[in-house]
Amino acid sequence: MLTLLWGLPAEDPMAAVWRELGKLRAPRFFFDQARVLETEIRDGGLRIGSRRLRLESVGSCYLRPYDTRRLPSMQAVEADSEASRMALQVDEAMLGWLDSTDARVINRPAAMLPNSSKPYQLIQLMSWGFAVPDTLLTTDPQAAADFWERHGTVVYKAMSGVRSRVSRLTEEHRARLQDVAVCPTMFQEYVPGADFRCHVVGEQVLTCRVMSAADDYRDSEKHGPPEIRAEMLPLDVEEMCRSTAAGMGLLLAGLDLRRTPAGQWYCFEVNPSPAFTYYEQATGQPLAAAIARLLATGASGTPLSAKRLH
Amino acid sequence: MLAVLASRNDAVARAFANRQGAALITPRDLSTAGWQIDPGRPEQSVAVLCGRQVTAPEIGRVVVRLSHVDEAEIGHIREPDRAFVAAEMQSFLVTWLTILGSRVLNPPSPAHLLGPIWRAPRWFALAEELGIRVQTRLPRFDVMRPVTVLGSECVGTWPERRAAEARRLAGAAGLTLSRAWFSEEEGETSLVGFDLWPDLESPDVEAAIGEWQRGDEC
Repeated sequence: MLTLLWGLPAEDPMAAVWRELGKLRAPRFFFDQARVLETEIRDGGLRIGSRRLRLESVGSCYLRPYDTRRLPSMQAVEADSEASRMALQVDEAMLGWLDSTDARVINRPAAMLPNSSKPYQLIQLMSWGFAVPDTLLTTDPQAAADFWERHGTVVYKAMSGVRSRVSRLTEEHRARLQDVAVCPTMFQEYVPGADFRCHVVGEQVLTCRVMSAADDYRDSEKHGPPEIRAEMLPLDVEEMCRSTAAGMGLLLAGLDLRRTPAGQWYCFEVNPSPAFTYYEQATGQPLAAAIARLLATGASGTPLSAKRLH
Repeated sequence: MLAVLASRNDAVARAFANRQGAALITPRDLSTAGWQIDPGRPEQSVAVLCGRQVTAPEIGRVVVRLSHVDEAEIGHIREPDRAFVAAEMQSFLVTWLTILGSRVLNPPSPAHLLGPIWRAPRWFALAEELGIRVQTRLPRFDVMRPVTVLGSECVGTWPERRAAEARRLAGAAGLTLSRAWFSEEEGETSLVGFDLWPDLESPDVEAAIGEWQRGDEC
């Protein structure tokens, strides 16, 4: 049985896992998403140009596909052309196979969907025992103002999977609160504390502390890159991360945590397809190697049930 | 109060809402001041239905006839912002329907307002596990007839085997409402498709939804 990778070969996480699989001498096959126009999936087989693969020979899969319509190879293709329809059919066929195959999948498409709605994910996190910031989703300017008054310091961010920065409300925003009547907006109480990123790979938990002056440490434009160093979590928090990832059906997850000065742990988000190389490069934590081992041998991995219905 | 979530262009949903005295909600209605959701205190959430604010406990049932918020639904938003606003509205509706729980037909999945976004291979795999004969090649349309299951019962009268298979599939998938499409060719009945679309044009389905809304099993 071999490991199938689906995504773009030059992308850091994909390249890192591919390299580590090579070090393990694990049989591997890369489905380069950029070659979607040369790809066909039919009768249980995948063909890319002259290369062929029987999907029944796949024992595990790691995927990080992009929106096919936005690939450079698709930019010259008319949206309603036969080529475009065929490309999207390849995506549909792959996603359908990934959700129903017995192979070990990091991560199944259905398990990654909660990340497309942050408030939906907050409800999940609460059910698994994590503290989450007090949150209001609203089109009511007065409700937004009252929430701000109640909490003093408030941040706003996107609810959907569209990436956005976390930003604090300032007095400049007060006059614009009327705009929430046009589009529901998510506000959260600002929770002060130390940021941590916890990666769960099967049963393994690898955590790092992230130090930045920015409200969102991924926004390095104004404040420069953050300082990142490896750190351990308290055992109970580590276990909560492990069980949350498992409960969400994720073999790989990146959890954004914050520890308050009083020692309470909040979780803001679970990323089902973390760009882990950013943290690996900063800390030396062997995340790619752990993912490759999970794919190739099942070591340190949680066995999958034979059939997944959800 | 019964509410129907649908496209602004869904004439069938609009007619159903009028007959039932239900509130029709379209994505455009989210550009109205007054909606509030607190994920930590779901009972305090507020919707704006028929121009007035309605608390979560006042909402009886919601029938969903919209899979996602399309940009075409929100033409009043500036074109460069429509993709983002559509995504935010989708996420908001997923959250709102999720906190309403079993009052929704069907509870949404994170990326699909109608419920789980399973693709055909997964439905067919589940059916085969349950011992249901499956046909994956496209049959003649005129031999396909959908069996709607609401709750634990089929809507309408069906041959026992087909009804049993539709109920088993809906139950295994954990769905409140579903439609199983069967083909009958040369004396053989096979499952050819499965979806979560409420057929509001069917008098039987409308009656069954009315009973569900009142809290009765159909």
